[in-house]
Amino acid sequence: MKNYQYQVGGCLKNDAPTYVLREADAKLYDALITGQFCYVLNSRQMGKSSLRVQMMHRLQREGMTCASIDMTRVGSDNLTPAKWYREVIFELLRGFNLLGKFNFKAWWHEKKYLSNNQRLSQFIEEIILVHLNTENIFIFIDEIDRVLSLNFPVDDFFALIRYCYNQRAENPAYNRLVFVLFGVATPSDLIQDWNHNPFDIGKAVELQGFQANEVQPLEEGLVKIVNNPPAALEEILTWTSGQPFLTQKLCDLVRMFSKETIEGIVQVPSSTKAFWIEELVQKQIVNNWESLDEPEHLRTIRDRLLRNEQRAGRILGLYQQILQQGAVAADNSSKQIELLLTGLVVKRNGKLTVGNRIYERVFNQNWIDQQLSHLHPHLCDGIGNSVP
Amino acid sequence: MLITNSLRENISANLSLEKTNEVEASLLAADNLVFAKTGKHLTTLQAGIFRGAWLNQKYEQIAQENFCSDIHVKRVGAELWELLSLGLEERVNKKTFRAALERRQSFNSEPKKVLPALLPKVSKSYSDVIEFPNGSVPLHSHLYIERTPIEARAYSQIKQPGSLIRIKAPNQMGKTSLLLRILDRASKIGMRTVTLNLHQAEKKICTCLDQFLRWFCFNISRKLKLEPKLDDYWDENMGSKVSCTAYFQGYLLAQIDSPIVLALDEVNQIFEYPEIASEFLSLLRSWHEEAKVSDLWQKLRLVVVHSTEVYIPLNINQSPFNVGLPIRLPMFTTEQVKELVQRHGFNWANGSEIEQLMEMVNGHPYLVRVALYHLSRYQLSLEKLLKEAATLTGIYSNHLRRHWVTLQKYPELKLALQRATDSQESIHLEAITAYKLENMGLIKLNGNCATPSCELYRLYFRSQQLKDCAS
Repeated sequence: MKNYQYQVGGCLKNDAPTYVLREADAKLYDALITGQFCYVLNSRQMGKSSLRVQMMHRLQREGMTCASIDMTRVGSDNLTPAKWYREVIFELLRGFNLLGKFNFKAWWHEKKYLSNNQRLSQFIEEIILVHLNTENIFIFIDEIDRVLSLNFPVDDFFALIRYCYNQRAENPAYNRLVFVLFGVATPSDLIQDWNHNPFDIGKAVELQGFQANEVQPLEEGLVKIVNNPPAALEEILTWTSGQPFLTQKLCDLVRMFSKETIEGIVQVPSSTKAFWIEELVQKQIVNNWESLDEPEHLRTIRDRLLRNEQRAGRILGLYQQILQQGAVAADNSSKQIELLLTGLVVKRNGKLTVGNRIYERVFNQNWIDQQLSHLHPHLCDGIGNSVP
Repeated sequence: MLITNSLRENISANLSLEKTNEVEASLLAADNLVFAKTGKHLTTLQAGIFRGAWLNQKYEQIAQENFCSDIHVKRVGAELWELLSLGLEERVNKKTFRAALERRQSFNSEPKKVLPALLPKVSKSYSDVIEFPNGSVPLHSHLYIERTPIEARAYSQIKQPGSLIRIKAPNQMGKTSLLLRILDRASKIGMRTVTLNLHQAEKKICTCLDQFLRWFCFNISRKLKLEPKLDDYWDENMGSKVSCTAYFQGYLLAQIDSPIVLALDEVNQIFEYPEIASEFLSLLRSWHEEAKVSDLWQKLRLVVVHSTEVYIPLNINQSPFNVGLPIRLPMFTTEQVKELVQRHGFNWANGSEIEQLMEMVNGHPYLVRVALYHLSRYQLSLEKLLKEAATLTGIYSNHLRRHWVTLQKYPELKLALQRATDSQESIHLEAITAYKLENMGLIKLNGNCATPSCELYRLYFRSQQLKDCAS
């Protein structure tokens, strides 16, 4: 398997050998082909965009039309709402390969007396549903949390998604159109006006880490790299709990390590295999993690935890509690949800636990103490006794 | 002239390469002369004007190639002739400077009289020439040391559709040399290559995303020898990232059939403008990700080179810039230094010399090269060289002085470095200060914990500090 390559950071290509099919793949596909509005809202680097790429290819192979919009590209330069909507439409045109097939500027001009949202809705009705002939049409919207950085709300936009679904009763053509959102946020972060939100009628697809029975594709890359690939992979999962980025990274580290051995294959007696992976984790990921964290993963979590000085104390306090007690009952409080979105903790069986052993080692008690002491002392009041 | 006839014969009949070498060598000579008089190096624009004027270009043309106005070029040009007059100790202008410089160089055929950089010893074959380490290691140089497996990984990555490579290392560690080789590989297999140095983006451009992206597209078009057609794709009623993407998709990627390698050097220059940097890096990421679903975007290959960590806070509501193959260039290992020593023609049998050299400069590629250059050109013992290394009579005097001058301008950096040189253990520094010192190559970082990157710096900056205290 000379050309086999694990991918650490960024989304996987549709034909990547290391793509791991999860429960979410099937759930999302089933929901999409039945025309449901879906959203995959989750912490970073859990494989959302890879799932999107896979799904688009699968649907296209089946003869459907798909477009994706990367929201990080839309809404720069302190835009006005009008420009933002124009960008969204333009990116849809680009995504559907309709650029140059009709006169966009003239069309837009013609609609100048309409509201932004009306323009978008007419665009869907007059252009998308007319020009695209496939049975179904899918719009994938990635990095949706970027709308949180806009200086105006885009509730209208979400209302429009809802509208498209409501229209199905009156206009069957709308049955062909399906939306999917991906991002790091909760529905309530994204909208303020709950009256017209699409989330009530949509399907939330949860993304879990890789499960032991799913990781077969990753094993291939360890063949002739370690003497017992399944055992090595099992051991890797005890450290990553299947977190996709870390799992790919640790597999990759094993491959690199093997290249430094004389035979090019790591011979690990089963009695020491646990110790061997632990040492790799400790030396290559945990020690000096701030400088070893390349491509960035742990630093993203750190930055998200600490980004808001006002709330950092409370969130760290909650995390500390989870770390010390092993688990805390999930209550869907805003504090818990914020912590969940960092990816540092996960929800399992109604409880919050630390995502994996690597996080436990990196964001350990010592680290928490340091951060709390950096935060202003009065913000730390009450930490440690804030049992919900 | 620097490039003598015997040398000429040995260079393959590549006129443009020869010409470039000639200009660059003269520029280097001029820069040394100016530095000796003023303690300052020529700026990028001054260097650009020098190159143009050497080739008899008109100011208008120079202005175009350096992306600024005629008036600005004329003004900076006038300053340049002043500086050169100072360095050459005779009045020169745009018409006369070349002759004056050539006279000077042929007159000073004895290497010791003139700055050593001017006159690499030319011997029977080109491979024997020991170049003074300045800028990147030329492609044909035998002094390039491979850092296995970095080169191989990079070469194979650039062949991947839609790939992205990020090269990170402090200054003078060999980033641009590696970049040159990646680009050379790419063009040999039929790819188009474009290099854009973000150092050339003026301050004014970096304050507005729209201007920056227009500047970016304009330059890339020209370098691809395509007529810039920004207005056809730029839509005033949309944001510039969408326009810029449309320009790439509709024009640049559509016009060129082969893969295009876009190399962006000194990307750290825009880190001082966090908003631009954050938007720009996320745009590059989005293109790289787009290649996963679009054949057209697979043509685009990106190489991003920066000398520091991306230390600016990127927008928390978007994915981090963590895609592609990351490459960090480390210091040379003892083995690599040994190889370099051999290529300079030395036979240091017992290894103690290597050890001594490593102790002083810790495998720093540039510092090792300077030491070996001087050893090969002058009757100088390694012992004497190392003894004087950290003083202003030693071989690193210019290098050290230049750092010192910079530090004088930034007291907080100076103070932080002094703390690092004082301490026997690594010390904790404020992040931005730490990154800036790391960028200069003065410290090495482990997290935010800093130690001087080599003994040379520890010795020199400590002695400077003592002088400071005494005065």
